[in-house]
Amino acid sequence: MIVGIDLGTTNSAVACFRNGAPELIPNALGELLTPSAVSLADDGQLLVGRPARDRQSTHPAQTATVFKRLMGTGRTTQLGRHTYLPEDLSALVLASLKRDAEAYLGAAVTHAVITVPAYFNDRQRKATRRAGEIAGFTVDRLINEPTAAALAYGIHDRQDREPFLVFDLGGGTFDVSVVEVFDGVVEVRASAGDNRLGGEDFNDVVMRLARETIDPADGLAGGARADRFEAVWRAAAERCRRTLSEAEEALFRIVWDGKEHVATLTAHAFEAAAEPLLHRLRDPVLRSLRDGGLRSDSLSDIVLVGGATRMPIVRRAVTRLFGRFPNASLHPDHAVALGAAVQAGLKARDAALEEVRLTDVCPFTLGVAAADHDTFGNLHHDVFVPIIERNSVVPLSRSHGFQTIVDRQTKIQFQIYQGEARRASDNVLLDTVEVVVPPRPAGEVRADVRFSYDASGLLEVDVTIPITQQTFQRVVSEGDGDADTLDARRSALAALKIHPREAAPNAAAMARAERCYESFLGDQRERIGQMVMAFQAVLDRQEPHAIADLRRELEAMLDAMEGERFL
Amino acid sequence: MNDAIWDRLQIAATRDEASIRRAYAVQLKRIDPEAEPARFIALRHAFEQARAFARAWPDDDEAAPFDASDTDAEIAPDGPAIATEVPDRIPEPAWAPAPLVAAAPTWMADVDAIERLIWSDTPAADIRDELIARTTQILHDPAMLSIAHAAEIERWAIDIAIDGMPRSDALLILAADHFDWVATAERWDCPPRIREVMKRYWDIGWVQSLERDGRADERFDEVYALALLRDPSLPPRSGPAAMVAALLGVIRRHHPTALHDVSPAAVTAWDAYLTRRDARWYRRAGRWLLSLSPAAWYDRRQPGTQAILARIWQYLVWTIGGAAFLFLCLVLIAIGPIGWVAAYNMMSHRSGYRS
Repeated sequence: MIVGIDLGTTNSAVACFRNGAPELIPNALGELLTPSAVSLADDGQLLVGRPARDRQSTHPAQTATVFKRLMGTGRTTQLGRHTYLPEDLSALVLASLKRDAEAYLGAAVTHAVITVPAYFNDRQRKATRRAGEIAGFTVDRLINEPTAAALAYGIHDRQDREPFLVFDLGGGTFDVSVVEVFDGVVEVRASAGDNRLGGEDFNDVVMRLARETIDPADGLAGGARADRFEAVWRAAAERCRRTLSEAEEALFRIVWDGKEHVATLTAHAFEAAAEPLLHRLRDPVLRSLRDGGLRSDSLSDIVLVGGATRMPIVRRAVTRLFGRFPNASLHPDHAVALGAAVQAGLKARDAALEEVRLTDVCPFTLGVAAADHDTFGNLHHDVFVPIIERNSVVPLSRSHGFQTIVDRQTKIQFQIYQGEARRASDNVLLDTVEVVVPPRPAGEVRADVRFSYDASGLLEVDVTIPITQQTFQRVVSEGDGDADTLDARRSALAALKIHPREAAPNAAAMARAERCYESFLGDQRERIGQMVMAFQAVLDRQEPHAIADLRRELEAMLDAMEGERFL
Repeated sequence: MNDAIWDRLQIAATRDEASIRRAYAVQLKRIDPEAEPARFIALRHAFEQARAFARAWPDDDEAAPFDASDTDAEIAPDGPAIATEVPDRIPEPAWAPAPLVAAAPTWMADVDAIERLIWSDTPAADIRDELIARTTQILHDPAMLSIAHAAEIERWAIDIAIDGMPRSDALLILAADHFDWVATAERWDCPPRIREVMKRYWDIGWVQSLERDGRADERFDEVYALALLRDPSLPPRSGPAAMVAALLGVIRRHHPTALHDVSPAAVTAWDAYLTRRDARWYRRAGRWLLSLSPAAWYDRRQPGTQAILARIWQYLVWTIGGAAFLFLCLVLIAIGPIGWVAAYNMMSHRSGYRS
């Protein structure tokens, strides 16, 4: 069975393709979304998902979130005594989703289609693929998030569609794709995006606004507890931002050092402060339209995906950009996972999808650095020569010829870059290929460079020297992804104690109660404290019925205090 | 048109885009793009070629020119219905913004006024303030929030910046900053029109830096030469000729659009003077000497790389030549007037004039 996984910045989800339709798989808590969070419990066990997310504000040093933003950078996170790469943390989330899928489907799940933001670069994609492999999956395919959403949107009623635009603003990344559907072919015409724009940035805006009112001198946070303070503050900001989505003003409320601090934020002030972020939405939209060869008024629809598109200020900005209302009919959090499941069904050649084909594009330009003469005869180095231009349909293969520039040159070095800058070194360096050439006068030796790019984003480079009939071949390096280190990392991760799946609801309730204990004062705090003690007592006695009863009671009480909860 | 393309799509050659697309879809379902990438690449290539063919030469048989909406309606009978559904039938949501554009768009009047200003006979200095005010109004119009309108204005600004150069400079700078053409010009796929605009943008900056640095000693030569090139009433003369020649070289090579900022009459006068100056025999001899240098030889093989060697050669020629000249003078002084007469007599005797 192949599952489709949406590995998000804030939330992840897993779905499968069954009975001719994609279907989301609930986790151990019965929820369809699993927060992308990992936390180390006091007993040395690792918690993944909701309980980890709740521990963010109570145990920030033992909790990791938003690690998707670090993918491909190699920056490590320390939890307790262990250090983790971002792909290890993602692998923990993926492994938890794998267990959920296996429990739900009652069979081993070994293959997966994982989504990545369309604008993820090669390194980030490889890190994601590694994460899947560490978690024990065979990663059949990486699929771009807006493409997945378009697939979910495009095939549900099987009719042709004029080009439409998928606007995917998630927790940490922003992507835009222009997609067209004809005769069962879902064709992505262009994708563009911003890797560092998402709901988290809007939380930062709320934090900044609140800090101006509550703590202008920055005096509340004290040295060692700074990260704790940050986490409390961020949780409050998230809550406040969500309220602002429904109301004109919202209360920003935190409890710190036993004192309550309150600020009132208005939607208007929030919109004004978020203006620079909203402005950054324009550029990718413009680029994708330009590359797709479309005008904004010829789009048939603007489809919103991603949790952050729930914000009214984002919807208003989109309406202004296009001069009309976007389509918010897709579930912003589920669409990507459902689309990944459709891709999994395609991959498994599901009978229901026989008449459906998907073609995607490569969202960035791939090329090499070269030297070139300008019209005055000056030699310029470090010029980026594109070989595969962005938004070409994959898989594809393109070649370009180069000549030597110096007499008796004996080798040519091709640096392979990904990016859009004219100066090659401003782009992302992927690999370097060096070829040996026969010593001849300048310009007499020719080298043909061929780039082959497959649907999963694997790049193969061939360099041919026609004079000597020699060919040099290279699959652009996987970094540290060779089999040995992967196995070592997999076994290291397997050795970690993961919190048992059956006990997940208890851990989630406990973590939430602890968080609430810290964010309330007076009577309410006392009531939570008593409840937690009682709950701990029945947990220790291991009475299943009493535990379930008390947990329901505890959750009902917290719901009443906190209002509707969010992930 | 290559037949292989139509064979691959398995249709007869056609200019109808809809049937090309349908044929592509049919063929695509017969293959698995992931398992057989080579077949997919070939099919995709055929599809793109066929589509390019259809777009470049729309069907001649049809009486009306190619109309995209017709074919679209044919392949997707419910296509247009979706398109109209979105704005009209959905009830206005709670987050709906206020009405976007006022009834009469004010930017239209500004666009007209700017075009009239640029093509008028008013001196450039006098239209500047109004140009700035009107451009700012256009760029900050609420309608600019719509990307369709912004793209339209961007195209218009590029056209007028290039066609109206240098009278449109104020508009050019405002528009370049607003649309962030600096960043666009850094990309490999920057459109040539924007590159052209940005050349002017940087040249304006260069000229302004010269004006600003008017008192800085290290740029005295350039600043002085610029002043000479701007004032056609000053006749060319030999003193600053080298400075002017250098500045003209820099302008033509690196800042071609800065020619707009100097007086054309002065440039013509100086060009004529510099040509005359270069034609004198001692300058020709100097150039011939320079062309003998190994640096010049190297430079012919690898253009633009050996400027330093050329400098060294120039220095050597001047010192050796100067020393030889000084030596001759010293000899003449040492032999004294009597010696000069003797030498003169010897030479005339040998040539036999006085016999």
